[in-house]
Amino acid sequence: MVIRLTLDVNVWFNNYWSLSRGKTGSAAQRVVAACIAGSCRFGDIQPIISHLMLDTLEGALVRKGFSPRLAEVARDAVEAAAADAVLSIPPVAVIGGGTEAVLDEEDRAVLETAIAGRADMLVTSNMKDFTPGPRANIAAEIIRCSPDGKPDVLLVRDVRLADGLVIASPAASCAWLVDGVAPPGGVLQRFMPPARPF
Amino acid sequence: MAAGKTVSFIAEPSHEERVAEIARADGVTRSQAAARISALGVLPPTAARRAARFILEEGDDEAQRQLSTALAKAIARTSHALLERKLLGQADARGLTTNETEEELEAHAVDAVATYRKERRAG
Repeated sequence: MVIRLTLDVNVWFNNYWSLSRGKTGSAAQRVVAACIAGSCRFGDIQPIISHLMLDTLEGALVRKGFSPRLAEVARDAVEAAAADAVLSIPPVAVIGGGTEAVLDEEDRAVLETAIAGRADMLVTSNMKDFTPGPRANIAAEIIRCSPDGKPDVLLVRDVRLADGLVIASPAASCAWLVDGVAPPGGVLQRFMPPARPF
Repeated sequence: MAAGKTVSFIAEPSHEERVAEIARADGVTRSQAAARISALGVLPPTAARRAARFILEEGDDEAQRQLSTALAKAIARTSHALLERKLLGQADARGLTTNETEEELEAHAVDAVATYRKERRAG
């Protein structure tokens, strides 16, 4: 089994920024570690990313004070981990029947990268920009909310994806991919081993 | 670093073209590019080098693609681990240990990326 996984730029950024502040072991960092290692509890992971997202990661790190050299090393590590799944796609998306379905142009490009790369899941710390509402008129179903009432698991339907695209927060995805917690019903079930008969 | 020594060899035409591409991409001479490539090639132990030679000489396109992908991912893992140690070492040397929660760090990351994008769009 191979899970095709897109991590939003903010998740990659969070990993390197947190490390530069002496922080390890956060949910975002553990998901990044699984992505770089190429494996999780469900099986292998194939990272999916675009050149635009890599450019953004590198630029955002430099803007926050990383040396250009270290920002480039971070970018290269992510790009190499994705190997032949680095997409060069224009930031134009047709999601849920409307080209302006997701308000923010670059969030739209991230979503389009995930869909074009046939990702099973997109992990983001910016759930609000993908949650159906004023900022996103996408065909997404809210699967679960976190204890503070914010959606942390969505399922996006798209004709290009037979099983849809799961969008999840770092905490939710870390729980499934790294800690072995079972995901909510209807989400990533196809990756779970069949129950053994008694 | 010790002074380099000149080594000459006969390369396959396709490899020579690839070395030229790499030299252009890295902004170095073909000789420097070939030296960097050979530095990677001398790392694996004998058995791995022989196995790689078998793949290169007798493997089809798919076998060579698999080797290329495996190499890229292995390099990514090692580079990432090295960068992680370097960043933590720098933070330790500066006495930087954040008290921010995971939620605060996530919010900071979302804001930092959004701000960078806005500035990039604004030129």
